[in-house]
Amino acid sequence: MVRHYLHKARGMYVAHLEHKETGSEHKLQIMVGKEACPHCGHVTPKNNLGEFDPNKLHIAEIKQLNEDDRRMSAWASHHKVPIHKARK
Amino acid sequence: MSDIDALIESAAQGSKEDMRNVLQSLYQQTLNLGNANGQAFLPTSTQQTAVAAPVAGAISVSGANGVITATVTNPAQNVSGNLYNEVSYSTAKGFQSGVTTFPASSALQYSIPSPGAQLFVRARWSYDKSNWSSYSLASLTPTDAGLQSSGATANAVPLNQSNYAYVDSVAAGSAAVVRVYGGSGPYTSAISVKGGTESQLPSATIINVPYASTQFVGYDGEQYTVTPQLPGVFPDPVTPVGKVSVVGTGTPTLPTVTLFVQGGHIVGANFTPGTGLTEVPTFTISDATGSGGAIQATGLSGGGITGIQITSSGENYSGTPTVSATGGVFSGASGGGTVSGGNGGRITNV
Repeated sequence: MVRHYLHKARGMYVAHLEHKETGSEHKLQIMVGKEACPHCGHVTPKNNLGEFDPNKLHIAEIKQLNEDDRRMSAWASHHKVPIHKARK
Repeated sequence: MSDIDALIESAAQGSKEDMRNVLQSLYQQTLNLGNANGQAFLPTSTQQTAVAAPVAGAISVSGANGVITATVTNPAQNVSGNLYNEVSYSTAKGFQSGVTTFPASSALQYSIPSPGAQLFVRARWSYDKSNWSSYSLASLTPTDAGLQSSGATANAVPLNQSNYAYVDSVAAGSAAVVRVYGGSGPYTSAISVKGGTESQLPSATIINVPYASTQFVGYDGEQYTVTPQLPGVFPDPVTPVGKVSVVGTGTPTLPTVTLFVQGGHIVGANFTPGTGLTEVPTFTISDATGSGGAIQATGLSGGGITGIQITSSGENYSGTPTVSATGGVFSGASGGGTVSGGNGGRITNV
């Protein structure tokens, strides 16, 4: 599951990646703004964002999360370790 | 001669009974006078001897980590016995309002916990806690207690917090990536402890962070905040996670060095400075016969080295030793948690 938004005041794109079954969660954040002006708080956009494709990054991050889950599950299965369900 | 003088003279020349009567009469009149003035005169047997106030001593103050420390220096004593001091402080220089006073004591040091406050401190002295010297003001300007750093408190107490998050950075194209993760590695959550409450911090990948910068990372419960400056006080909902010095740019052009050999010794060098360097590279000399030679860069300017210094000329070198350069890029230094937790997440030394 992906929930994402742009936090304009902080100049930060935030994608909350969450695996419903395992409870694993991960934040994918892209700094799209430079440091905010200390006086007015205005965030200046960066000029090198063209290469960032949020959807492509989501897929890569989710793939990595799933890979981690798969490895942990395999390890637990091998050693007969019960898996604790996520607290939600 | 007044009437009183005549009475005393008469009694002195008369009997003891006459003297007793005169003294009792004077005592009674003194009592009456005292009662009329609202002052209670003690019986002679319990009347205390008045002790003059001592001269004022000195008081000095210093502020750090949210605490003002006052050190009292007593004046020279001209009366034997206890010498008391009374320390008080206020935000007002004239002590017109908001005055807090320590109980009189003979202690010589006082701690005033007051994070963020600026206070005036004064003291006075007495032998009997009744007659006091004039006040000595510690300073004509207020003393700043400073902010209480998390390093000034113990782990996992209500005023402090620990976390087991790792924060590091890796090069990724035109900008760096900062990673936040737990003890099991990237993409695993980290544990955070605030006082006695334990919670989980999600892992994170923060993209497009400037190279070779210092970043402070916090978590507000929804997203990670990344700022190059650490505010004096984090907003309450923000959990400090760590400090990271981000890696330098990923692909520099390393310098090349050509050595000159004479009599088997390295005697000179030609070089190209390289580009995009953020740290001085390390040089390794290879040769079929020679050994012991060493060179180093003399400095770095504009992304390239400024010169080559021969630190050891070595011996038995052939005519064509080769030089390879490595490094040249700031490798970054991770912040945040440690393996054992310990001071993990404490952000100090800013």
